[in-house]
Amino acid sequence: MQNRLIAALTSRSGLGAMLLFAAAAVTFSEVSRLRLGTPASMGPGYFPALLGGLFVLFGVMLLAEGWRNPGQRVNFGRLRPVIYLLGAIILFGMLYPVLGGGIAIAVLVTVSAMAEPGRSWQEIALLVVTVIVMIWVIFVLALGLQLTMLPPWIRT
Amino acid sequence: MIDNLLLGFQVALSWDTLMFCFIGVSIGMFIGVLPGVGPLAAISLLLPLTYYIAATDALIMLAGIYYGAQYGGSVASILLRLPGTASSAVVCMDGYEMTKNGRAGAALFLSAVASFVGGSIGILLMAGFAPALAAFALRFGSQEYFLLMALGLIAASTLSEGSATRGLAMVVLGVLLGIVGLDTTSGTMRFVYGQFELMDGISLVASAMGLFGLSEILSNIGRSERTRPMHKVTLRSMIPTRTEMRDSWPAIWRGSAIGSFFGALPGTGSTIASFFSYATEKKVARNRARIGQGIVEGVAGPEAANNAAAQTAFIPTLTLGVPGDAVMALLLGAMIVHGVNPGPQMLTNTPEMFWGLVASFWLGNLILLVFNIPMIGLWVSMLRISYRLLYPAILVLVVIGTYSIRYSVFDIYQLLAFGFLGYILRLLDFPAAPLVLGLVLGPLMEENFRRSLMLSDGDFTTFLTRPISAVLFACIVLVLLAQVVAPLLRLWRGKTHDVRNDTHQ
Repeated sequence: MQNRLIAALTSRSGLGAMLLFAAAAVTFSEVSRLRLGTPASMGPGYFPALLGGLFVLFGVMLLAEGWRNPGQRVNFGRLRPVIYLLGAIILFGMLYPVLGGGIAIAVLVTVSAMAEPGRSWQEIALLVVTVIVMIWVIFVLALGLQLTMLPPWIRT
Repeated sequence: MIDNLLLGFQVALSWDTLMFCFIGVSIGMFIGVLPGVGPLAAISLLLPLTYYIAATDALIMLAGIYYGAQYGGSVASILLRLPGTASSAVVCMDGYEMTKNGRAGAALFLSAVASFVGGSIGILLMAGFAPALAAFALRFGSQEYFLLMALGLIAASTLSEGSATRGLAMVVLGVLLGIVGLDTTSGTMRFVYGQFELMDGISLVASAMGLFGLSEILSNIGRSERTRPMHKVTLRSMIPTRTEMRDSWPAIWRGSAIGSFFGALPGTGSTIASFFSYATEKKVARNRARIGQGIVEGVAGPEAANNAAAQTAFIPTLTLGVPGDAVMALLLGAMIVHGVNPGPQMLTNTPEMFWGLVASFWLGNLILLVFNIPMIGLWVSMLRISYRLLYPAILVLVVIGTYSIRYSVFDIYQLLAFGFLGYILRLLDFPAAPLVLGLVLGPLMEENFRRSLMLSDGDFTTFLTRPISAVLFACIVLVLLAQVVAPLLRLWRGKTHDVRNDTHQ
């Protein structure tokens, strides 16, 4: 019984239910500081409160699904691409304001390319150069966007 | 209607507009051919770029990507047995068999013709029905709009594949994310947590790119390398035999009818239409005995169906302002960004936009048909581009595209958050498309819900007592009931079958 409960909670549906309960918790904590109002004159909290209720409803339904099929486990797949890709974006966000587009894009391309193992440095270098030129042509030359490619402290 | 169409062609044939149409369908064809890049990702990728061009041109280009991808999708299906887009997956069966029988050229030609006929029929229906539907929709009040959006969201999340509970949960999550920011009625901030960048809401582009663009890359990395046998396709080999032509036509008509019907319904769309058409051909085609062994009906029918559906899908989006799937939701979002209010007023307020779109769709289909056939060789050679080289470039486009909307690094972190959310959702088997639908419709739903109850002085029966809303409410109940009844029926009937075939993966 207890084992089945744990299995149900950690099954794919069970974890899905947890996600929905978390969403409900966030919703209700925000709703608690908003005015609810009445149906005829709804406050900002009324509609989100209904959504929070639906999260709970669907969460319970998923929990029941997990109870019925506790064997469906979450398959995490390969974590390497996830870490490299998301890491590459974080790095870009941090580097771009400081070092400008050129270097930030080079880092973005290099780190994301490393998500797939077994590349030579020549291949990565070629990719970096091609992508930087492509971005410069499309965004700066053709569309005229304010994209600082060089580090901002270098004045030309 | 003739006047309207003339007006439309006037718009669509202007030099700039024609160019955007051409760019759109070419990109659509390109990403359709490439397995692993779908129209959703491509449209979200190009969305920020369209902020700088006129609204009509922007829509024409984005729509071109969508229906262009339906054309391109069949190329990889036929030549490599790899569906370029989900809606052409079913073409793999007979299409690839035709390739093995040495009829690749004919299969490509017939799929282009079928696509064109299906698309044209869809456009004709759109031109014919949209004005009537819009005129009818002018009678809708807030109650009807609220229920219509609820029906669209419920149908879209329950009728498509996967569990209905999960789809509905994602709709609710999308609606909640949609109302983040300043509540204009009360002037209160909601779910902002001190981040002033969130004041005008979650970015549609960042969320769509994170959920579709990034997740597509994540799931495709590492699977890209495989040996790809390449068949040479000459122009001469593309000419179908007389029997092939004769057998294709009925399938094309049937596919067009099926596709037009499913495209206009919320939640079904081109993928389901093409599968349904294939199922129909299995039963009625002249060569049905040999289906799956490379008969033309198995290619022509589904191809006509998915293109017809890609066109009629615009009917509810443009006339009612209620998108049927995530692609339409993105287009709707693009319209709102451009200050166009989709809905019945669009036809009367900006007829040049609506009819320009209709005319350009047909021109786009013509471009796809005419350019496609001589350029097959180019599309085939594009299948050689390795995803390994492609995805870092796509990632940079996604990141820079998101940043460029308002030059905000915060938006890059929004993109990151949605990429991560997309990954989590995929792990837990939640579909992402209903989330985007909810995100676009969320604010509109809340507004109409509030107004309905304000007008009725807080009386919830207002959703039942008006005739049109009563019908819509009945539809919602039916769709939801079908979700409860269908599994019970299956359980009751399926004692002999294994019921648990819904264990995914």
